[in-house]
Amino acid sequence: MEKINLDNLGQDIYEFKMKNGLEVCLIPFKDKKNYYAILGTRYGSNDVEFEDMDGNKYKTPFGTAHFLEHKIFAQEDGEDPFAFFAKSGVNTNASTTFDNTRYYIWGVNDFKENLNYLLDFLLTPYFTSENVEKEKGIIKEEILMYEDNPEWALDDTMRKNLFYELPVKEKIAGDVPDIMQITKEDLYNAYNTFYHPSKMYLVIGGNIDIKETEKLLKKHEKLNHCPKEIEVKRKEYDEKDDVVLEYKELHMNIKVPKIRFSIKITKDKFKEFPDVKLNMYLGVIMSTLFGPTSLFKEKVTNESLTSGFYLEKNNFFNYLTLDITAESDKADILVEEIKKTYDNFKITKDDLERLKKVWIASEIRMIDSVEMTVDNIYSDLIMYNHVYTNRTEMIKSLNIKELNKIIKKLDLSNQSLVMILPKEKNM
Amino acid sequence: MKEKIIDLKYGKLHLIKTDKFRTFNIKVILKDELKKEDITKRNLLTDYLTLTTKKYKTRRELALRTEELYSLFLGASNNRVGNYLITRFNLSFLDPKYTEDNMLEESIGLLHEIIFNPNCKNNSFQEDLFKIIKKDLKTEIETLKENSQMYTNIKMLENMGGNKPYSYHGFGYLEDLENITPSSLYQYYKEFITKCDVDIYVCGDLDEERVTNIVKDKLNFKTIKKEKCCLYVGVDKARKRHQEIVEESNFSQSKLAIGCKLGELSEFRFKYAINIYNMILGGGFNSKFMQEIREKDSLAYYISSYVNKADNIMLIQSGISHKNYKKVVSSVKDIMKRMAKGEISDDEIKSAKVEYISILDEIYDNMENILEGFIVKNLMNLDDFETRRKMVNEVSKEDVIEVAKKMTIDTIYLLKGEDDGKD
Repeated sequence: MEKINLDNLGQDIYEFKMKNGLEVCLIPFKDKKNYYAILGTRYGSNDVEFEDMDGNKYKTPFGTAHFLEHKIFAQEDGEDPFAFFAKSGVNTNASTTFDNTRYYIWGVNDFKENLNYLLDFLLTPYFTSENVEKEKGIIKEEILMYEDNPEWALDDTMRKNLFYELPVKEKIAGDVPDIMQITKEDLYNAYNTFYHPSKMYLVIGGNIDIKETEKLLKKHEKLNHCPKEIEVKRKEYDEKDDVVLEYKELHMNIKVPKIRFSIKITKDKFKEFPDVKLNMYLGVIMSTLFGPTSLFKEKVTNESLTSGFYLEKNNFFNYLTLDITAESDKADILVEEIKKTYDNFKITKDDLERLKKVWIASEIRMIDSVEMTVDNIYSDLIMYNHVYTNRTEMIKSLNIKELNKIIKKLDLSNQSLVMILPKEKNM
Repeated sequence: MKEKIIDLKYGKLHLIKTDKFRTFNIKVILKDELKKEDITKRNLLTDYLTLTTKKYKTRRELALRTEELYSLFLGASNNRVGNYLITRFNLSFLDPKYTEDNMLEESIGLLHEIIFNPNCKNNSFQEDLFKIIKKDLKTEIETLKENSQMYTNIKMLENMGGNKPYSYHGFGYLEDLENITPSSLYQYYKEFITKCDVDIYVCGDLDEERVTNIVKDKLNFKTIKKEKCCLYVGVDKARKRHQEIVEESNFSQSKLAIGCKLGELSEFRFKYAINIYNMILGGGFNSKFMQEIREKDSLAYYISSYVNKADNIMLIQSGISHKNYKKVVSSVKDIMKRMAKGEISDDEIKSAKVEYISILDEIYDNMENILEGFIVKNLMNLDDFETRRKMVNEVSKEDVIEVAKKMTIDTIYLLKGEDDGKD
């Protein structure tokens, strides 16, 4: 077990790998009553085609990972995990993304008992034709709920605009016809391939005892009776660097138009930079060009060009996307402003130093929250397969020379726009 | 955790000392009796105050200042609680031991600038900046319906409430917005700044004397005392037969909102049994609604209930397919009826109590929750955390049944979707 002091701010974290391959990260907080645990597997909506250790090839319907996330809560003895955790006032939930599925519990009571149970129920699948059929009505309602949401529509449409082959172009939950095809066999095939400790991560923070937690994990029967490590072959995709579509227009039940403006960037040219650094520098570019203290923001505020404006950065396989989401009744003018800003920019040393100060402050704030700390560490594991415990130092080391090197290599011409306009017969 | 209350000339200063966090959090709470026409004005006002000040004229200048102060967070929000309209100015910044010693003065100084030094000239706000926030608010009000569940809840409450305060939503109204001008808003500001009750909350690893002096110096309100009103809306009879309203829409999913009115209860039941009742009925993932309507009948992805004690009402919401509308409504009625007849297990009561207590315990882990915990306790005149922890255990099955008996459905609103699930 390795002990590391998180950013030298007086918060320890312990990392170790169990014999069965499970990566464990424990973060004991001195002053907290609560605890928060995430158990996740590197299996998400992207993993539609795969091959197991025995060479069996599988192709599952879109939305299988998300369906499995729902159905893992079914237990053979009929006990509902929600009810089990509720007995001690502990909450549980789960979520599925493109590249991972995570389950979490949070509360203040009976930590050991609840952690044991979390491991138990995730390691004992119980899928039947009947319970799979029954879930379809619930998931259908979930999909319909997202369908009415313009932000989801921007997101889903933009990924289709950007990617030719990568499975991220499909929706995480799938479409209603996809999920209607899902069978218990699909769930078992995916489960047996991906819900193995060697594909999983466990991150726990809060009011926990390190020694006792480690002991519990080493003694947990199901966790320690898995085959040692398993190999999975995931399908590889050839993806072209350009975008599929530069423009797509949708019509929805809205009053004010919404846009998503994205740039697709291949990471190939930036191999000399670790992924985490590349992400930080691109974050610097976005924040400086479009953040609260940018000249762009000042201009669009003063000219009332937008009533909502959000920045995001996403990593998909070997690609990065820079995404701007905005609400605007002068969307054409706004898009021109965005393009102009990307076309010609310079970031000064002062800009960079100011942003570094902001980021360091937010790192310090983060450690006040068990949930945020655990979430960040889990995200690091999924994104980089590594926990960065020295983020503050990394931020301090950002410099204008490296930044300019990246800017020079950066090709911002792979742009795509999705626009949602009000339906003619509306509301 | 205790608060130390210091009387200021114009209101109260609440100091909550804790060394568990690396931040300071300050909230200035201004409250007065709700008038419908104030809602829009108040929203516009706090938007203006946080956009521009005399010293920091533009949003960018203000943002640059917050960055200088180590990424300080400053915001304002308005909400209605019962008969009150409440404004919160919220400030959060790193504990000066991580930055510079004078950051306490400087940070509270910025709060002073926002509240007391608005960008005005000749008894009026600046026209050009005023236009920006007016347009933003107009868009916000116009886009309300894009969030179909929120819209459905608003429509349901409008229809249930008559002219009760809960029939007003907090976003504001276009007809009121049209009439507000830079000078009328400035007049409203002058009134607002003197007529509200003021409470200031400070939480962090603080030096009481120093903080008190800075607050006295920088946040010096000149409140004119006025008559107080009661926060609680009180008991109001439900319709003999509930009303059902269906509105057509072209959303995919239908949204359901059900409003219930709560009858007269003893003080103890009002304070404690309601919470236990709601947790069992529809308060969480493990509620009766979720078990029966989602897990057993696969009719919804979410269905929840929420009791608003200040308004003396309960709200039930869900996203459904319209073909299941009758089934879901009759299931809701049936579950509520069975609870009133005593279909509540000891385990359900026990779980709900544990949940109630663990929510209380978790308050201490998050500074925002600590502050809000004290604010809500003082506002609603609740027992302190320790008393609540003990008292909730006294809730019996009879108490919960009594709440169930007093809960009556008044209004059912369906925003009907097209439900083209393509299956």
